[in-house]
Amino acid sequence: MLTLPELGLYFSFLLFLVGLAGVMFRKNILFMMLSVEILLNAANLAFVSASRITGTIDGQVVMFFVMAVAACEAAVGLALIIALYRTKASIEADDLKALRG
Amino acid sequence: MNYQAMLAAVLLLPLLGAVLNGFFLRKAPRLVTVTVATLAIAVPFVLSCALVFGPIASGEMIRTELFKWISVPLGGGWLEIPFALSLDRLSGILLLIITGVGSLIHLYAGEYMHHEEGVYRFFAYLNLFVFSMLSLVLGANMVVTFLGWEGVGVCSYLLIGYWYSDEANARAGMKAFVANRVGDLGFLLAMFMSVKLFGSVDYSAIAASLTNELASENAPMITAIGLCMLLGVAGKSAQLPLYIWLPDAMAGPTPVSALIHAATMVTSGIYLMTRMSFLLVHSSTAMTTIAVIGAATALFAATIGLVQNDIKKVLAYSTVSQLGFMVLGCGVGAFQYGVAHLMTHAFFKALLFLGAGSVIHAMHHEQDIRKMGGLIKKMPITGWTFVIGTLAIIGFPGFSGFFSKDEILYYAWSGTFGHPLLWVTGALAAACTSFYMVRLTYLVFFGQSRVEHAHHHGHGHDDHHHSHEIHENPWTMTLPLVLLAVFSIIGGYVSLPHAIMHVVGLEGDNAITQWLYPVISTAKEVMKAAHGDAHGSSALEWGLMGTSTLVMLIMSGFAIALYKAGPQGGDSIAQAAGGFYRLILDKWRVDELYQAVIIEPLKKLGDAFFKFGDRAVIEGIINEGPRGIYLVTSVLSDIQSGLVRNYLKLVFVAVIALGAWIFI
Repeated sequence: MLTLPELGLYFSFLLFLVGLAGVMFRKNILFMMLSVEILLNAANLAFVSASRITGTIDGQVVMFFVMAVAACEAAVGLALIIALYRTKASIEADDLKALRG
Repeated sequence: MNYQAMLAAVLLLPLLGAVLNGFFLRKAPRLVTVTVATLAIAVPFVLSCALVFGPIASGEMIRTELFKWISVPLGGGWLEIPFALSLDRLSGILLLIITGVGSLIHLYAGEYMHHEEGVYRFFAYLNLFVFSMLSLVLGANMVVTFLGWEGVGVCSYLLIGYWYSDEANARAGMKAFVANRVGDLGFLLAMFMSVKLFGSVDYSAIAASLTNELASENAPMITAIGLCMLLGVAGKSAQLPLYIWLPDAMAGPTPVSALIHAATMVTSGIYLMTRMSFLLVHSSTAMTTIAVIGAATALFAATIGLVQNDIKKVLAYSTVSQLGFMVLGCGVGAFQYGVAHLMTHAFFKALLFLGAGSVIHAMHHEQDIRKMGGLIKKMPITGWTFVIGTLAIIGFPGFSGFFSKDEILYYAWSGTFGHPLLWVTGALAAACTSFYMVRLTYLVFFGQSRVEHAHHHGHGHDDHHHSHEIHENPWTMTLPLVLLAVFSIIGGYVSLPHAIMHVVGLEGDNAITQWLYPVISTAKEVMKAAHGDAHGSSALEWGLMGTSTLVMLIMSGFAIALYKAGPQGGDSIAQAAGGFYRLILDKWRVDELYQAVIIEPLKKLGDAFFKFGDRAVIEGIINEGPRGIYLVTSVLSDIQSGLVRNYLKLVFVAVIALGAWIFI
């Protein structure tokens, strides 16, 4: 029978796949950002679970860093999306390809 | 001021004038431009007089080194080539001609060019030319001379094409430049061989190291140097086969024709041969070739001159012909008379060109002698000085050309490398000269006026200020004519024939032989040692002189009789000669021959190189190389789609791959 931390690890893997699929296949930037949040939280869950399994505190410390970074990322990302919407009147990722080679 | 500084000033003042006019006085009034340009030549003339009649006349030689120039390792040591000037009696003569005739022509040009806009360009080029010409004759070694040699070529190109908006003029300039370059190759090769043989390019060093033993051991090399030098001379002094540029060079303004293409630049070949006389005389082959080329050129150009109708073209072919005489003089070993004829020719041909320019100026750029006639009444000074110039060039007894030309002809028969056939060729050329010069003078200045009053040519400038009446030009144009006329009369007395000297009770050598003794004594000794004394005699000299004078008189009389009624006088002869006349009228079709034999094959070769080398190889590499790069990069640039989701997919794939690589 799986222990709770182990279950958390497997769950984090599933959560990561969901986030990854969202980032890769979503076309709306807002949803892509939400998926990025899911990715980060999947990583957080993996850190915390690993911390419980190994009995060390490191993973939990890193989790707080990641949360702080995620908060910053969300703030900056949302601001960028608003700025983009104002200039392009769209938040579709496929409309933004000015840097195409 | 010491002599060295004076010599440097003589060389550098014309350069200063060129720089001032070319860069700083472009907006200055015409009078300032002309004054600066003329003073830049006149002051060196005064200095040259002081130098030549002072220390040089008393037997000194002035040598000065402006700066160290070239220093290259050679063999075990170093080949040092300083920018050194030397003034001896030979360069002294040239110096006086260049600055003296040059000043007069600058003065004249100030008036002649007064219609032109932006005349600073003309005078800057003219001053630059004088600078180059001076470095040519003052250079103490071949490299400095070569610098001047190239410099005069460039200035000649610039001045022939002065009215460059007309494409024919630009083409004439290019032709002159290219023909000169062919000759320059000869000079360069001669220079390289001198370095190889003597380890030096300094004239006095070469003269000192060239012993009879060295000459006989390296006879083929000496001959090669002489022949290469002849190629250089043929280019610069317009000899067969490279003379073709000089007649076309008449496209330039007439003062340019007078200064560059009559008095100075074209004579630099004679200067070079006299300078190198000590070397040339070691090779009979080279000397004979020089003499034959000279005689052939003299006759060949004279025949073309017979039928030309453009006043400047006649004078151009006559210049080529006279240069042939000078080269002939050098080739038979009478270098001093080559130089003497150089000097008298500088006077009378500059006079004739300036006179022609005076006529052209008064006629508003009409150059066809069939549309002139009777001008002597309207332009007496130009007319009579032109007559003096003509008498000088045809060798009328007492005028300068008589003495210098007859001495050359005498030595063509009796000189060390002389031969009666050379004399015959020369005398025929002289006969032609008499005919075409008298024809020219008669048609322009005497007989009925054939001037069409309403007819105007011009180079686009404003002719409305002039009355249509033809009149004499102002003093700035006539003063040079008068001075040159005086020298055209008295200039020849430096080369009095021995026969005449005996009669008037003078002993020893004539003035030019005495003056040039230090320069040509080595050559004379070599010729004497190898070939014995020259085999002339007083009787022969009198006989040849009498013959050529008689021929001259007959031909002149014939020309006057023929053209008394006008330019159509020669038509009956022309008709009788038929195709031969047309051949001469087309200048023996030499230009066409060169076009077919040299230029067209070269063009075809160039075309082939263009198609294979340029189109296929170079453009192939240039075009196909980037095309390959483009194909590769276009695949790569497709990856950079600009779509975030694609990048993320790539990151995903990459991370998986990286993980697989690390863990498996």
